[in-house]
Amino acid sequence: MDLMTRIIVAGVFACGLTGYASAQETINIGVVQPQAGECAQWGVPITRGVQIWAEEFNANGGIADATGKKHQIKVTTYDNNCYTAGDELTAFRRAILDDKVNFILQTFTPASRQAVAQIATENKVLTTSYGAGYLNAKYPFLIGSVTGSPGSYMFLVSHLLETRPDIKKVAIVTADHSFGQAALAYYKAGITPYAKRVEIVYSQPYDPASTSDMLGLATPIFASSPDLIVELGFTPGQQALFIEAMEQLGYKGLYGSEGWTMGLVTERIPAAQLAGRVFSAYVVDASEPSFSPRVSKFYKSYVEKYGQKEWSVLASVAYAAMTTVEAGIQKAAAPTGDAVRQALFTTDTVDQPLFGKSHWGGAEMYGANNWLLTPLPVYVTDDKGGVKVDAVVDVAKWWNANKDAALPVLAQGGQVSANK
Amino acid sequence: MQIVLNCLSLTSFYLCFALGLALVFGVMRIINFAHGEFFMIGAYVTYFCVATLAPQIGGPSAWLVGAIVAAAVTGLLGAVLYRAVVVPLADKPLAIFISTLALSYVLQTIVVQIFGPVGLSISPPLRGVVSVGGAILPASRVMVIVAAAALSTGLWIYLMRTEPGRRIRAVAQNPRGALLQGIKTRNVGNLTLIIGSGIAGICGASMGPISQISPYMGGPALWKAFIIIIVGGIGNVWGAVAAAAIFGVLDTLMSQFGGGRFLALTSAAIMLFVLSVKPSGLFGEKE
Amino acid sequence: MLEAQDIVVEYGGVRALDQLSFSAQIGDVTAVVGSNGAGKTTLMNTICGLIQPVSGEIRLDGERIDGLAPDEIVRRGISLVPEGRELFPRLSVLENLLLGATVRPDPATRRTTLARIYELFPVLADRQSQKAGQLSGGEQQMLAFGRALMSLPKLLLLDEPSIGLAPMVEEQLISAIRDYSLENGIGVLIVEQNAMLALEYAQHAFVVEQGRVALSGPAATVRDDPAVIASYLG
Repeated sequence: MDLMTRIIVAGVFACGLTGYASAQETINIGVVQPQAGECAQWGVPITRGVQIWAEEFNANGGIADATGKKHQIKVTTYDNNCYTAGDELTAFRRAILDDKVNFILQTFTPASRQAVAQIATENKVLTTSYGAGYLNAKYPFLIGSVTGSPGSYMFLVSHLLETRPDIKKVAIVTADHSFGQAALAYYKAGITPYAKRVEIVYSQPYDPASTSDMLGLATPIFASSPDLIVELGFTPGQQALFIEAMEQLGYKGLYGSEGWTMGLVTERIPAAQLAGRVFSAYVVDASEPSFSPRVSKFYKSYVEKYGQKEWSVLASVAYAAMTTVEAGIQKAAAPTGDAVRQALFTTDTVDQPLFGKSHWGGAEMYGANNWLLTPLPVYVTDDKGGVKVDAVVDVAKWWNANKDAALPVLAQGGQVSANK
Repeated sequence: MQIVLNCLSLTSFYLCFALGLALVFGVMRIINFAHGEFFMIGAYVTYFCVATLAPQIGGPSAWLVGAIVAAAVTGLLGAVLYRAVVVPLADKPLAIFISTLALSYVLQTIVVQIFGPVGLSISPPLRGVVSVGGAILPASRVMVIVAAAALSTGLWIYLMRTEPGRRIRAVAQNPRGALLQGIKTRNVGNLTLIIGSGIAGICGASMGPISQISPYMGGPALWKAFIIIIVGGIGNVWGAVAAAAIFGVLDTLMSQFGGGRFLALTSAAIMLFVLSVKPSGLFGEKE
Repeated sequence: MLEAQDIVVEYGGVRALDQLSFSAQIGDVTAVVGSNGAGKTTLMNTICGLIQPVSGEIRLDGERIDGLAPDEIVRRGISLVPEGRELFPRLSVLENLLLGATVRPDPATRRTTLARIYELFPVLADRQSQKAGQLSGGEQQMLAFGRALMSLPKLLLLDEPSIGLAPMVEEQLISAIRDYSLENGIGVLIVEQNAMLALEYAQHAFVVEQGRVALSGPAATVRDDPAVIASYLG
């Protein structure tokens, strides 16, 4: 072959390859999360959870839609410095208008969800989160993939009260920001059905800036002598310092939060001292092997890739949120936001790949049943600093039984937008 | 009783932050915005030393090495800052301020690149709790109290009882007059920045084990330190000590009695009030 | 001997000293006479190294001192009592004096010099632990003199020492410092608004006008010059 022929053959071959690649539609998924700065400690593991989820499919030739056609998944990250609404909208504009993504995973922070509701809906980009946060009948493309935040706070505290009748006094420790205010309302809502036997002994929000003095923060909480402390707003390191301060003061009761980074905690307090006392429930904790072999495998590949020290439960939370989108893609004729949404909402339940049959809910609070109420595993620490499943809460059942008591408390806490 | 111990403990935190900044600000009338990052770097240096040395030489010794290295590293940074920024930009306070602000971002970014943006935790060199009349004081906090007390006393002795300290005070009060006595004001400036920055490093080393360390921990610490030195009186190191005690007690009582979420607000309000009523600060000398 | 030759100092392109030359003997009192803005204070600051000349040379006992740092010039033996005194108001009298001896670290030397200054101004000994800012104007001037003498100068520069003092105090102080200097072989270069007073105590004098030396010679000659009488002594 002379040089010319070679070039022509190479050119034809290259064209053929490109043509082949475009026949197989790529699914573009955007992740809007803090990638640098202080909040990246949450944003980075969340992003990695989505990336590993995508890699699992890509390694097997892609994800198959209902027609059996396989699609590669491309994950693009967009930075939002620390979950601010303005940054969220900017990131969405880039993702949707410039990069033409089909799906976006974002924070559950209500203000950020509200900010992007319109652009996501107008462009039919299915936008999900690891929790509800904010939903609205006007914006059907905004969904909550899993029970997640902030609903899990209510289900965690109610589960503990229901299963442990000796809890008489609860302290609620939340930061004084919109995150923390939502958590405070949900914790209160979860306690209200048990108001006859349970008293809230502490519920003063704290200034996040004051967390440098953990002992000062812990002293009045200890003085209120609670049997259970539920927390939201501490960073993983602050959680460890908080437990350390409480233990030093002599606290003997239980702790609950969406998640604990036990490695940091056991650096300060022996795991045995805390065994059976520290509870968490967010979505799923992949570091616990018995709940689901699939998330357990995910945990192993995460740790292999990034190391044990980089592990955060938030990675599994993001991973789990993506599996709801996955269920939709597999039932849809084409991997577009519109088709996947329709596939997910054909019935009022979804066969969730990790959690099994889950109900759409949320109408009482948001006026739209766009929140998938996945069963919620509650974890408790063991004497080695690991976690085991305490129970899997059927959240839809609890909600139906207790919503009359819980709803007014949520409304009072500014968490109900259904009638607005 | 627990409240008294908490007051003491918080006062020592505040004092530790504010001392070095008050010295630099008081003597050189420059605002070192990177002071908070020096504090942060002190904590990270200690983290590094404890993480690498603790298995061989034990937690407390590793921490001690960390504190010494932290002081050396931040002292060196202070010297570099003096040569690279303060000398060339002398008489341009705004330019110095902006440059130190830029330096603070550079240092933050470097630490993010090396250690990542996620906060770390220094495993406490001293465990256990000291009981005082039914109240408790964790050993690691006793360490901060001791460090803050030692730093302030040491600084006091150095400034009031030694000849280099006397020169520092002379430059603070009248740089031109000091120059005419044959004092090398440049050396004094350099020394002051080294001492102030070194104190920030030691403070980072002692605060590290009782708080989470992150590349962004410098900002909030600096903010509080500014409030303290403004309320205490700019240029008056002892005013800063008094102001640290005032805020230590006030903030503890507010957290205790349910005002925890208003801490930032009250601090800022007190600062504005002091500025409008007595701009030289509670214990400041008139210029 | 202090000699200045053709020194030129500029502030933003404007000449403050224009090829000014003069000399002052160690052991003598030399007065500098001139109106406001003639360049007298600039001259003092240039000798001390606070201002660098654009050109020209300054020599002390034959060695060039222009271009040296202020602390080196103090070490070589030139000490300025500046206009406005520039004391350290919140330091004690003793601390102010000790700071004057920055370039003379030997403790024994310091002790003897301090004793002689207390002898010259006994009130400073009485007030040694008081803050400088709490002294009266006359006492502050004594402290400024004493502090300058602590560096064991060969040449003492006095810039407007009488400002803000009562005439009686002024005369006393200046004669005290002159006597001390003469006894100890220290040269004095004095700039005084009150030219009459300065010329009375000086052996030599020169007149600065617009950054140049307009006239120089023995103090008596300068004092009797009709132009000087008309401009500065009238």
